[in-house]
Amino acid sequence: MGIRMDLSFSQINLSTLADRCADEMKRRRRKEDFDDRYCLEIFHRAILQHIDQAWSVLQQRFSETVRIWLHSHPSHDVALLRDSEENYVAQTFSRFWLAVHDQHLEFATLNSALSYLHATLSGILTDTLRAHLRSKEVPFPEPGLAEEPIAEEPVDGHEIWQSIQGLFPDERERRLMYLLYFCGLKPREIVIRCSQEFDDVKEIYRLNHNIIERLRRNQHRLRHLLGDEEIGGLTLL
Amino acid sequence: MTDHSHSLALSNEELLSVAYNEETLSAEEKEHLEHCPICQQRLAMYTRTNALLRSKLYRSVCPSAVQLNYYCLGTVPEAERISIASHLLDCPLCADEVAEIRRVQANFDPFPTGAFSFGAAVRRLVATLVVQQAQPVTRDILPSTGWPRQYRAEAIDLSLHLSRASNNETMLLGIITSTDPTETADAFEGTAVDLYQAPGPLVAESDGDQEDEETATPLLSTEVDNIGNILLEPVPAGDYVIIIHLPDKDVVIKGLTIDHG
Repeated sequence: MGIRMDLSFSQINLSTLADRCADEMKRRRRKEDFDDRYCLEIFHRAILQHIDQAWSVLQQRFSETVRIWLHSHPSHDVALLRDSEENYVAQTFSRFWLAVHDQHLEFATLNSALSYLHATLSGILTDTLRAHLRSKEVPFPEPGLAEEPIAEEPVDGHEIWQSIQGLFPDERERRLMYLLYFCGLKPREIVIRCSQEFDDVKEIYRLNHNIIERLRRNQHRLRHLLGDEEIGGLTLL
Repeated sequence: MTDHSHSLALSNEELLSVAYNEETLSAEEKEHLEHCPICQQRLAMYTRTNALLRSKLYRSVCPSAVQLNYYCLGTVPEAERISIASHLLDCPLCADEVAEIRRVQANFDPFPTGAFSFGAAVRRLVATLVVQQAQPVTRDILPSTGWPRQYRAEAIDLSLHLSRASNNETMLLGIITSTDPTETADAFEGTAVDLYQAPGPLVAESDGDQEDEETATPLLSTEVDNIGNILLEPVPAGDYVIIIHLPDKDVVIKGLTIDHG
């Protein structure tokens, strides 16, 4: 993503730029020829020149666009059960800001800038859905324990995965451990989605039992990896 | 855990299939499970273990979806790109997400026609789906999934139900209420309600400036009665949008899929 800036645009005051940007966006929506340099100049000042007012104008100009994208997302209903529209819009601009700075990104066209903004929002919504799916797996406490189930925070999966792999010398058990628990797939889903690797659901149940037995024999290590306090009163295995 | 010697005792594999709700147990085996505390205990152990491990580990080694989106745009550093590419070979879920992200990005239109107006002269609020209530299916309630539904827009609550008339046509019933204590049930009496086939009245609009509104004709129109009831009938199968025209705002309910099956 290169940059295309005209010296004359850098001399236009921000208020005029904002107005012209709005006018050009209207033309764009009417599928007429439009000039995206006014809008791009706002991005340029906000991101490269770190001008706070330009960042405010950028958010003001494009918040409504982000809001429309949000409501057009196929999972917006579920996402909005977990957080507010305002927070998603604010998060989108915040993550966008961090990413473009981190990656030193410059945008050659308004379309590429908005693609990046849209990608940020889409990712945030998908991450929210992942968290929603994870929370649905929270186990109930054992009978007799009064504790309410608590939504689990994600752990450092890479560290756990590295450690757990050593417990499974059998490659198929190791792979199944990954598909069952790190991907959350059920045995029949695995047969459908990974038929090249597993085509017999009974084998999956058998290997799953072996996996649980191995984990049970290494319960102390697993407790350490998952965190004793987080396991709480739940008897593992 | 596996030395349960009753002749009908379930094997580890069978119990795991039950734990995953994938069982194909015989009637005798089901009856045994209902009455055998040992098998129930073993089943509980499998269920609990699976839930615990999934709740801790699910997607915990996956790149965030934001990173996958940036990966698809080609804007992540080389080391991260290689790491994600390697992960995609192992993870069917991320591979699916990347395929979907690429499809969305290939068709990306920053200013889609068909977007709803948020800046029209009359303020337009998109209602949020609060909960899909569980309800036993009775003879006259259609067994469609996801009904009834509860929506909220600021202080406005709307319950939507599907029902079937005696002539077998589908009725969409609504009850509108307000959490504002100053508004009584009859406050909504006479409010116009329109049902549109999705996407409904469209506004090619963004950033607060209204553009040309495409006119759309409602499929059905009605008014709220004196106790907040809304009745729309007959409603054919399809995707719909409802707009409730309150004095100071329009409340939009999107994503209404009515399936007569």
